[in-house]
Amino acid sequence: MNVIRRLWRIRSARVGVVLAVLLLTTAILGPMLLPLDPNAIDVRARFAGPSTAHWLGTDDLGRDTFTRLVHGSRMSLFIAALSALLGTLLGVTLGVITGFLGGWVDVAGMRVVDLFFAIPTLLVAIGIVALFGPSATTTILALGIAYTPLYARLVRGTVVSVRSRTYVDASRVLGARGVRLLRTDILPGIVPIALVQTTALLGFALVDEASLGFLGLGVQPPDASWGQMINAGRQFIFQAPWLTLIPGFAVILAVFSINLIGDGLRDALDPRASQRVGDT
Amino acid sequence: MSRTRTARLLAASSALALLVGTAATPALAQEPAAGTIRVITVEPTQGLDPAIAAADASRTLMTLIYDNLVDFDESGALTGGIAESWEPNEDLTSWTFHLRSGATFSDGSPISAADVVWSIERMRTSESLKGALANVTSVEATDDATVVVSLSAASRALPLTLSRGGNAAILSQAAVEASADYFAMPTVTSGPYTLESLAPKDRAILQANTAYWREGYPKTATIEYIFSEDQNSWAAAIESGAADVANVGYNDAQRLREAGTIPVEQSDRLTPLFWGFDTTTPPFDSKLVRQAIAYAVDRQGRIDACWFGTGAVTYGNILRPWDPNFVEISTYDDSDRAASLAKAGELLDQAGWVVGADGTREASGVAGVEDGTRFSVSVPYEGNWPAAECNTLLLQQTLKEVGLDIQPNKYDPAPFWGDVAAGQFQMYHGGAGATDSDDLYLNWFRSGGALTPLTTHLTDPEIDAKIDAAIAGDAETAKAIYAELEAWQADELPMLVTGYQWPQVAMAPGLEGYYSIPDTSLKWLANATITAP
Repeated sequence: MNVIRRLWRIRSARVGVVLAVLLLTTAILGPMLLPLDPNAIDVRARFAGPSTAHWLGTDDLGRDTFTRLVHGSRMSLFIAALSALLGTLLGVTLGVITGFLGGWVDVAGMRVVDLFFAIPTLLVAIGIVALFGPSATTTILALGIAYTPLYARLVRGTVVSVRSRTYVDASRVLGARGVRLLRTDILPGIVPIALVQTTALLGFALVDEASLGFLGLGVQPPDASWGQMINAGRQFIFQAPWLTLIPGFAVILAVFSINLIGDGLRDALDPRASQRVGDT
Repeated sequence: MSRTRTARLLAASSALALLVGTAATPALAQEPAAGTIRVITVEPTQGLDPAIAAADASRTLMTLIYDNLVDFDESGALTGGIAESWEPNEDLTSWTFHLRSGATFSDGSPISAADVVWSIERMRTSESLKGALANVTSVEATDDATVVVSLSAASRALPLTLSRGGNAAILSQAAVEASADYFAMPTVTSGPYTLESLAPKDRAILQANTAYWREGYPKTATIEYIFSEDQNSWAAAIESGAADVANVGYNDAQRLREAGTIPVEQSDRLTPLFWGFDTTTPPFDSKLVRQAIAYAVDRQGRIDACWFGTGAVTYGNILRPWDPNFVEISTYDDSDRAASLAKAGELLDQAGWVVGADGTREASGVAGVEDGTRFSVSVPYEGNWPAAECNTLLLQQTLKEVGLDIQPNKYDPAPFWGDVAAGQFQMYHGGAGATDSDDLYLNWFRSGGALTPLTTHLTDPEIDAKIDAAIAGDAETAKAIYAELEAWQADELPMLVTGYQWPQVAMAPGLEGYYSIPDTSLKWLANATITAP
């Protein structure tokens, strides 16, 4: 609770939290409240401007842009959250195992991670999507796997650092071993960094989902996601630039809010920075 | 380009083509004009073997490197290719082709009557032309410059079949037999250009065939054939100067025309758009289901939303109104949309597909389908064709109105037509070109036709006999048979044609002399020159 209180005291983090809550509420409740079908085509209302019937106008097939944006937010945030969660689970597991066990396990695990580091994250994701075919599930798997090496390396470094601390040695002297040592002394030590890293991953995942969608490798038509909407609007960039700009702005807003929260979390979890939190 | 300018250009080119087509022109080693024309288009995904590659993606490139016995001029009329002239016997059961003297392959070796005989024999057994040439009984060289093709039944369509761009290629027997991998990189060829390099997923470089039989052609030294799967970027490539010719998207064509900076040519050749069916298994083995879809699809909506007002709608015909064999059919006229949807619903009920609890139709007494099975069909379309995606999304929404669940499936364009031919799809989106009624019915409807495995999938001896009779008969007989065939296909719907598209070819302002005949039109690049803007 202390952390949340400290986070709330940071003005920029407050802005991030408010934006994120708004986005999450929109994503969760919006599709239930909106009356229109996001895929309903009205050929006679193509490229219509904003009106009471269509708040953000319509696209090339006369579909309501606002409805698609809201439905797309659910898809984009869902993919981003699950990708970040998968990356966290895999990264923490690999990082803890290699860092805690050390020896040949550490060497072998980290060399695999090094291999993945040689390839840009998005390229790894594109490769996985190419292998299994584009869909929301593949996007989640691809991004989650692509984020694992970065996360594993970070956690492994933290575990190595924590396990040689005096309080961990003291636990060992008192007889703590294996899982118990991990659970009581080491894992709590990596929670702050994991929280910050997962928040950062969420931002990356939003941008990467949009990138994959833009390349046509993410959510497939007619379903909407922000990346898919940016891609679909691209062919009408001269006639109807808003079809690309509106979902693009949504991505920016979401990533901005997550970054503000991430920065705030870092400060709130850092004991040295926390002394200055009140001034932020 | 203004209409006056286009008309002048067409008139001048017609005269030129007439001269070229009728005059014997000995091949001369020649130096073409310098310059490079950059074409941006899709990759030849079916390779470069004329016997196999039926899809336009391959045929467009093949038309540049392989010549035919018979060619088209820019007005669409048959003209001399490697054959300078030809004539049938009285009852149209034998055709004699007189080869152009001095015509050579790109390595300078003569295009002999033996090469022509060998090439036609190869076509007869090829996947792409075995149907259209099924009535050929023998091919003989009576002398070094004359080839006689004998038929089992009269046909006036043989010259048309031998003009089929890419597929009716005249090949060098020696070059093809010298290498088992010849078609991976065919360099000894008969067309205006030779293939210098081909890098998959990147580009092909074509150099002018300096031994080409048409003196003074090709007019440009090099063609850079850039492969791109993203048609949305092609207009920008022309505008930015990164390419000189591209078949641009319909929204881009409209925009470029309005801006007036980039000339855009529109062709009105016969290019039907259709929904293909697997008529051997449920649900599309039922004619009632196919007819229901024909009533339910939004034909004008397709044009408005996906083709930006270009092209045309048909309500039963495949042939266009200005085709000499056209007799209007308006069975599926949907001017009263509510009535059309009601009719579609009735037909589906009759076929045993009844509305389920959630509004989607379910099987009830459909042969071969378990009762309660939802009518849910995945409909693939080529992923690099934006208008096809739009059309399939529109189909999904319109068929939803009659309780059919359509799942648009953005498909990898590379294996798409191969998978169509292999019968992997229940229903799919398609489109291709045809020159006229003879070409359309021979190659789309006849057993073994070049496009039959990709369109109608027919193997019907009765239909084959009617088509053979149409191409054997005089104009009146043909018209009567085609009217009958048009009515038959509108009722039977082996595929559902909803209209036509007219390709929009954008050209760099410095490009002159190019005519935009759809699909296999790239051959006309041999006439084109490019100057720096």
